[in-house]
Amino acid sequence: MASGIFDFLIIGNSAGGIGCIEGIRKEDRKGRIAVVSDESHHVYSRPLITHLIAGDVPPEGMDFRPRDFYREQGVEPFLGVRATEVDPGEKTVKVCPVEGGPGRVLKYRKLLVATGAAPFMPAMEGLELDGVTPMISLEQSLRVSRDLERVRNAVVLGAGLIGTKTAEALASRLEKVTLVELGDRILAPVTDPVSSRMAMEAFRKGNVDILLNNTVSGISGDAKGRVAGVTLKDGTDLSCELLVLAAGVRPRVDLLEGSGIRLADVKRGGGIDVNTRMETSAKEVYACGDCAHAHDFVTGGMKLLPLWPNAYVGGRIAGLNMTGSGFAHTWATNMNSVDFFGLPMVSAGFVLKPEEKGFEEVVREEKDSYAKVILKDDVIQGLIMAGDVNRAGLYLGMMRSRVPTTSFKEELLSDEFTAAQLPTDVREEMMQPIRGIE
Amino acid sequence: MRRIYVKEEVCIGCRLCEIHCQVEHSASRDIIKTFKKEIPAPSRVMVEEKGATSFALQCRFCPEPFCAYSCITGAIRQDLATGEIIHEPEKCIGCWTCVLLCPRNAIRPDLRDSRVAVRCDLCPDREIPACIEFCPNDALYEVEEEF
Repeated sequence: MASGIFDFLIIGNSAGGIGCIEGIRKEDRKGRIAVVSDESHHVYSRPLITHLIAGDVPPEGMDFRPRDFYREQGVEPFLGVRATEVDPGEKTVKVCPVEGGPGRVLKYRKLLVATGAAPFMPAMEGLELDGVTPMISLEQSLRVSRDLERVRNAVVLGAGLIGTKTAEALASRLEKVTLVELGDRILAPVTDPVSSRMAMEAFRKGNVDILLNNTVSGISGDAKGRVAGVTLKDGTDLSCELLVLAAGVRPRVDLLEGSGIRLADVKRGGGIDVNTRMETSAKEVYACGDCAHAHDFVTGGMKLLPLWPNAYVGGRIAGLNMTGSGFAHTWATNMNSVDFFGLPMVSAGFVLKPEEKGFEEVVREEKDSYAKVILKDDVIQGLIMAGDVNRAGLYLGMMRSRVPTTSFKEELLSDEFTAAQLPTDVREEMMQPIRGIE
Repeated sequence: MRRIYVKEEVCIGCRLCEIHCQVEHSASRDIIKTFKKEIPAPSRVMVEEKGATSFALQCRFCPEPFCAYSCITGAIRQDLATGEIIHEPEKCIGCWTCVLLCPRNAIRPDLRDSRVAVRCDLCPDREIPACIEFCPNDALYEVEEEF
């Protein structure tokens, strides 16, 4: 391992880390950059791990950036190396190889913490059985892919984005997949009851059984230490050779223990407290992505937004600011786009109309598509589209620019609505390339 | 960087740019076969029209490309040296995040077999992009700009 001081030290080799490298290199071609990650792989696309299981993306298709990325960008990668302690006073990070061996101390001038999230594991017996796994890393998806020929039935616990994408992938490979969700609908954070029902229908056609208002209360194994089945809250027994636990994620911040770097209140998710410049409470230490809070431009508050684009842009802004710029990350909100069995679905901002006064909805329901916008004072604050997502970008753009829709809000979702109705200044801006991210 | 712009006051909203974009990106590149024998590709230029106002809009190859920032697979990324946008459809899985994030509405889902996101490619096989060449009123024009 190289010695000396790193101008930029990045913990985390995923969306946030890459965004940071690309932000730094926009302004500074020379500064010394190192990336530390406990994963030993070249940077890969985490959302693709379920596609690897489905077999529609080959292992070499996982690369998020070309193989020569680190060399081209002058980045020293420390892969398979875990950061265990951050000392913002001394400006050092303790690291040690995951496989064992002596640790060492890296010195930095600026530090980014982009450690991502860890799966939430429900407290129960049997988690150690073979065939019981979370689904958050390439390693886990490679292991599941390898073991799949031994599997006939799979159970996925949790119908958030990870659980649903996992169930979809498994359905293409297995006889029986059951998705178990504690809540009363799937994909709750990114759907309303109507779009959730459309997704349920897509899963039903895709041969996934969905059990709502239920959860796994017990796991049983066989004599070889492999998972054999689960017992659900309602008493149902399901046999399975694979159990994927996708009951949510938590910010991965254990390495900051004792560092003095401030975390947000547990009630607010407990991630790293940052300002919109992505600065933490410690000097020269930045954070972004699933481990940190981020500004939500719809609600105006700081919160966890564990989404790939938010991590990338947060990292990019951090990287730019580490080189001396002063950008604010006000780009993100709860925004998702996903496709299940050929059903495209997007959402942004509010997915349910808040109770407060002043909010209203415009809805369009067709046979195979659904769209809804939530407005406050005629400004779009929420969007759901399912089945047809063609104009989604226009609506999210209007939401971001707070374009008043007063004169056309009734026809906002109709075929009659076009960008030609937007005010002249908005139209003129639309004609130009985007040159600023704030 | 080559960019296509529109003169809003000249655009007549005839949508011939859309038609010829679809033909250019079809298997046959024949206007009749494209619409009679094939499933046409989505147009990569969109005409927005209301009353007397109309304009055609395609990718602006933004220096701050939200599409690249939001791409979850690395199929869309920015060349750090030149600022150009690299778009590799073979890496696209059709998650449509870029469709949601492009405020210009310039990326469209191609829902035919491959299910990938598509955008203006400036017609690499043509000297003049089809939308410009077939615009009957010279509303579209191309400029070479500093990034």
